[in-house]
Amino acid sequence: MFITVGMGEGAVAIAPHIITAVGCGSCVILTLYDAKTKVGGMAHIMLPSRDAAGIAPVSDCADAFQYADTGVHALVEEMRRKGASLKDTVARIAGGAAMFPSYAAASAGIGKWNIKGVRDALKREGIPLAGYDVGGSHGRDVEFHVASGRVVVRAFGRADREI
Amino acid sequence: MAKTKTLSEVELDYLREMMNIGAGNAATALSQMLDCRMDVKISKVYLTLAKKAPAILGDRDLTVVCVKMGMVGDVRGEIFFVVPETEKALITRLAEKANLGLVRKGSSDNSVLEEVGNVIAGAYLSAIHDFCKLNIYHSVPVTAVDAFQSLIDELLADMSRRAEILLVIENEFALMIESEIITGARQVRTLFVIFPAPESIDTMVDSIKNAMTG
Repeated sequence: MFITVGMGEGAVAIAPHIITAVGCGSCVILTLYDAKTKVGGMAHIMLPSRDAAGIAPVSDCADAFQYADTGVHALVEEMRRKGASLKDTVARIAGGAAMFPSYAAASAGIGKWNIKGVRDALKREGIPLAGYDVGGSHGRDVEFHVASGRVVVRAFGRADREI
Repeated sequence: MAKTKTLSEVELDYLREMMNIGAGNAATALSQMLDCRMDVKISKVYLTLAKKAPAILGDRDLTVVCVKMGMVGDVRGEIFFVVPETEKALITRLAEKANLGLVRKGSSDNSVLEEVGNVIAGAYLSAIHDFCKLNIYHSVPVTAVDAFQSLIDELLADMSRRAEILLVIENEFALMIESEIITGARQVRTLFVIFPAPESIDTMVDSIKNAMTG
């Protein structure tokens, strides 16, 4: 029923599964949802691009979900394999925080680049962004109810937020 | 091409003894600073995969005050001094009593814990220096309050990126020193976590091994 997606991992499921990710700081949690077929996917993206890691882009390797540039594409492909239709699919993203003040001062942190990386990749895939809760300096847990498409973001000291 | 460095049980025990010396020095410094009797006891030393560090802390949802310091010198990387947020008030109160001038108005202030983290880092790194002949310096602390996992994910992402470039290590790891700060009847569980940079892991592990045999 519950599927937990760890750092650099991705999963696609159908109702009544709930896909969760916990302890997301600078990482970005991407969810894709096709409301017609009720197929939902989540990726826990750590870095903006494989290029930034000094490695040539390969989208079908085991760690594709670690990077925004390969992870978005890999999740889209996995959604398609499970029967989702790309034209009905929407995306929601959460995360990309700068947890410590020093990171924010130096280069605005990797969180900001992760958000940009995921947004750019979604644009390339032609998937609209339906909701987001990004940035700031707090961690997030994300719960994705595949049956309803609800994406709930939890953060310490804040009210739960549906995006 | 890939290899994983580890320490044996005996080597970890030796490391624990080494850190006990550091803990004694930290206790003396903290007692003087906070003007009350403080003890610091090492309960356990772990060498674990960096990504498993939050599991050692226990409760994933536990909110912690995390004092982060950079590590430069013979071993590069980052240090996290972790205290459950519920214990912050106790330590802040001690500092108020000692009239250190460290406590500013407002509960979001973490200066006292930054100073405590700074003292502990200094004591532990000196102990490593004395035994392992490694010169390691820590930088000015910065603090954040949240779940431990969220606080270290940027570090883990950065480590995995650099480890891939180097292709020499299979796993990044963390050296975790669990210690208790004891004052009166109260015991505060703290974690001091050393995340060596991927390129510094060999240096650190080899120096610990050599210190024991040498």
